[in-house]
Amino acid sequence: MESRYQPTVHTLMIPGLDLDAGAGRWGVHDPAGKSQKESGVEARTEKERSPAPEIWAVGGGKGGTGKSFLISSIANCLALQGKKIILVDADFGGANLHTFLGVSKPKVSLTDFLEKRVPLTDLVVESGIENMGLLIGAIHSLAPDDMKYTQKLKLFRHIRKLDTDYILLDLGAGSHFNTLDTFLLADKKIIVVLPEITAIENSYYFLKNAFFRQLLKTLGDHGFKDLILNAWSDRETHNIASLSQLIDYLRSVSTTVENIINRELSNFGAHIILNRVTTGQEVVIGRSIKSVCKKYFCVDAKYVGYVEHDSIIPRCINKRKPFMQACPGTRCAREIERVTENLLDGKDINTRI
Amino acid sequence: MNMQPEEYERYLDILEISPGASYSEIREAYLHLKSLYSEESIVTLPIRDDISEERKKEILRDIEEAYQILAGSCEQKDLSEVEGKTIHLSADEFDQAPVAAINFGGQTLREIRERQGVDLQKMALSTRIQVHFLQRIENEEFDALPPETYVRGFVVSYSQCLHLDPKKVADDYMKRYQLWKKNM
Repeated sequence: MESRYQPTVHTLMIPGLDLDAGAGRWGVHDPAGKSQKESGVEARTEKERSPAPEIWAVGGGKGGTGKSFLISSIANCLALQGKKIILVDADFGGANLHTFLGVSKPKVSLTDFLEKRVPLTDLVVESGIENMGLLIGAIHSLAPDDMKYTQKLKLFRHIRKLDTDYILLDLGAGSHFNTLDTFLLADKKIIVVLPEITAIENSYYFLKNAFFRQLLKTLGDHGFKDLILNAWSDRETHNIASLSQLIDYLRSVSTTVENIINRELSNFGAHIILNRVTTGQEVVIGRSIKSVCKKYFCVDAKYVGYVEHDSIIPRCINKRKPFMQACPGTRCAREIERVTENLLDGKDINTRI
Repeated sequence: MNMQPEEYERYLDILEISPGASYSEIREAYLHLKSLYSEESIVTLPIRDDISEERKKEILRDIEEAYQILAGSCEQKDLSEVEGKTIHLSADEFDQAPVAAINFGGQTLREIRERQGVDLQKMALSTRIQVHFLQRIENEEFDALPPETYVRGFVVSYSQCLHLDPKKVADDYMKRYQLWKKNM
């Protein structure tokens, strides 16, 4: 995890900033080359070869919360800043991200990569926006969830190797383990939630499932897989009814396990976006969800911003026009820009009412 | 009050605020968390069975403790920093002050606002009411304010910004407005 960051560049460029920001990479990719001087020579040589791209993923359980709209708009913001982006539609069964960008569905699909050995880069198509490529993760099958485990690992491995600055993954709805695993690939995990009880409930499920899966994976890597599986199957004897109780139980097993769990909890770092806000009071909901994540599940989250409801957005989507291009300067566009900045900086929005 | 750095950090963590938070930020965070964890809302309802009742009480106790200590330390700093100010309420007394007051005239509102360290610019940003209207509210310049309904709305936003009971404040404030209207 740590090796992704370049502390040298980091301290030189943005002193005192949260390490989570992962902003150190800017120096390397700055097209104007401005920061090269600032970041110093050592840092430059260290990462001379193109570094692994930073992966952002957007999930959140419930369908229709605006995940695809937001991630494509955020990708657009980053591309406008001169960063190289590949936007990946990882909704394997219901890929429709191309519609948000107004491009037609590409002929090649993930099936070609998985079965015909077509390189993944060949699947990246023009998005119609400068600096931004599009990879449609459609699987031409009526049972797209059938993706084999080895196929999935191959896909993830190749996604990481794509030559770009940022990879933005759009996930489908639900908490299927393929969705969760794709979510867990990300360096920045983004949750989109609406100020509605069902959306909030689903985002808790999603987060809990994702964290449980992460824990399963990490503890498995350390040879503790049986411990967590047994703890869960014998949950009645151990008096475990929730994720936080499971975590408490596991922490009490040994200090090694406790350390692993604590590290995973602080590294997990979900970023919350509250979408379709209609009143000022609703803005605070994002902050409340963040607090609950911390106090109930011990998960450190950041509330990176909200986007107001605007009926112009569905109209814009129906016209298949990228929102940030079609309606720049609108309140929603500015809110999306702010969300993007906060995601880059790893910052929380300040919500004093 | 001398606080250990770890202790200070723990309290900041509980109230979810950053180091150097002002009194008004501490108070705002406290009120937010207190209502979040003592009342059911769409945020807490979906997971109310996730943690035990004891743990919930513990969360509230921690929030209360963190507020008392952090607000207390702020008071001490204020006293040493601000000279010439004679009236200083402790955190506890201050909590009671707005509740106990029944008289919410413009002057009182201004005093509460200044005491919380909220300047008019900041309030204008969060309430989206222009500064000159906020000033006229405090000066009770009713003839220079828009019609009654708007004035009431301004006062409600004003008091929400200071975490006062908006109904109580607006009901009392508007009595002044009525009186002025009658004598016009």
